[in-house]
Amino acid sequence: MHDDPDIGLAMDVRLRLRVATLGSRALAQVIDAVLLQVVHAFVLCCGGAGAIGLAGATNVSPGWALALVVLVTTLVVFGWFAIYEIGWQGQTPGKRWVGLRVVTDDGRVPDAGAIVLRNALRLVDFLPGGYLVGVITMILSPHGKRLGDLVAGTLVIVDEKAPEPTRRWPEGLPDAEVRLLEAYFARVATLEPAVRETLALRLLERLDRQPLPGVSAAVTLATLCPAAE
Amino acid sequence: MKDYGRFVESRRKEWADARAELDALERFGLSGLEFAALEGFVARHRKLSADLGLAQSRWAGSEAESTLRGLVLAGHRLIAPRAPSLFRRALRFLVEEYPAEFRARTPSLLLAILVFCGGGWLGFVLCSLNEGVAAILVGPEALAMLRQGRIWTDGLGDESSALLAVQIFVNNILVGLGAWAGGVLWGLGSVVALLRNGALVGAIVAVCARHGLGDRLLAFIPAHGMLELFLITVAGAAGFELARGAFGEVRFAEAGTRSFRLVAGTIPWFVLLGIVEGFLSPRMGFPTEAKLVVGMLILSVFLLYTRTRSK
Repeated sequence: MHDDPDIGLAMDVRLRLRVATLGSRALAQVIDAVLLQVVHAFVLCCGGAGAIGLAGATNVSPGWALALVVLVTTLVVFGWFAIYEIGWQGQTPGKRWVGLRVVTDDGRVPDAGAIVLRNALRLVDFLPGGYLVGVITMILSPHGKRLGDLVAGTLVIVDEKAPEPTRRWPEGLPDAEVRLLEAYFARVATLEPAVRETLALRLLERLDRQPLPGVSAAVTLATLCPAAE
Repeated sequence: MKDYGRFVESRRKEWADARAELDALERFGLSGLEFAALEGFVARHRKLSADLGLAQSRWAGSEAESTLRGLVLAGHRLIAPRAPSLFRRALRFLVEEYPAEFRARTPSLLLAILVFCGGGWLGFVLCSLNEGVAAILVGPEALAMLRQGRIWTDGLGDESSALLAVQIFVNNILVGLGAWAGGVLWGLGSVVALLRNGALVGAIVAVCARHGLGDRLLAFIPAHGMLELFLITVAGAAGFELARGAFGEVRFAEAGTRSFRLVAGTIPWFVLLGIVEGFLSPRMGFPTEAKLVVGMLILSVFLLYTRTRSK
């Protein structure tokens, strides 16, 4: 397990960033690699066909058109990560899919220089194949950094979303009970009906309430704490 | 205590508004905001941070805490000094900053030149003593071709110059970046890249000289070769600078940025040399002396450029 680094916010509030796990980073990498292959093949096919067509229809030498194809495919292959991370504020399609983001060591959006730097070092992180050097440094580094991250001063973290408060809580309910209800509603969809009913009954007992006439304890709780709009 | 429910209810609208505002700002950034709007955003961010502090200390692990974490993290990401655009930064770097960066790394550059020349000397001597060694360096097929009195530059004139130029500069940029990036392994990667490239040049010179191909080699190399080989040593020097971070002599992030700047400045020159190598070098009808002049001129322009001082 990696240590999650703290960053300082306003008024001395500290916030612990959640460092991405090796598995989630590998998954994001695989998604990007697959997408990259598809785009690469598309550019090659379209560019190749376009080059031949252009050469046939005009006096342009096919060499010039092919040179352009080679240039574009090279930019796609080597620029994929950097271009996306610059444009999408630290995310590539794979990272966005998995819910990861590259940030600076203090949790901000890295500038283009840092992003280009961390991606240029993939040349070494990839050695001798399959990102072995990168994986080893990620395991050894306290914040799960590959070499590119160490050198550029960046981190890959879980891109935490801000969930909307899901329920409206009845007034005057003690904090401990609200937290229990919150935990119950967070898991309610995954509970077996019988387990759900037992839990709901026990919670109602704790709240000194009875199930509403003709409805289950779970429905009574849902009525008591209605979903937020 | 009965504060949590009241806390969530009193903040619900505020959080929904903040989420909508952050979604919009993530797309468009803060730069377009009026000062008053920016002031309001920063004030709201401070309020959210304060609420997060409250939630962390009173209701750790609650839904409210994770809502606030997400909102504060998104706001924190946005409130950062924005760097100028990559293009403008790159241009300023190349025109104003690179020459000073280059001059400041002279000791590493001298060391890289020494290693490169050492590799060249080794390659030349070993291949002169035993031509079989060249098979390891240039490959058995290329060696067989040279033994038959043919040189790889013979067929280059038939290919598209533009395609050749692109292939060459892409390859050279990757060689340069490899020589730099290898420095992260305590400089070993850079030493290997410099020795290998030096030895390759030494081996080619030795084999061409032995088989009477020296004049054809000389007709191909001078226009692009002088600066190209020099730039490989610059990339190796950047690798040595990176190695200082690996050894803990300077902070890794500092060594990384500094060394990357040194190698990044070689990229436009590699592009220029690729064009020269694709369009001019393979033309055997072009006098060797003229190619030599072109090569000297390009090298001189680069060296003069590294002597310029920004105001």
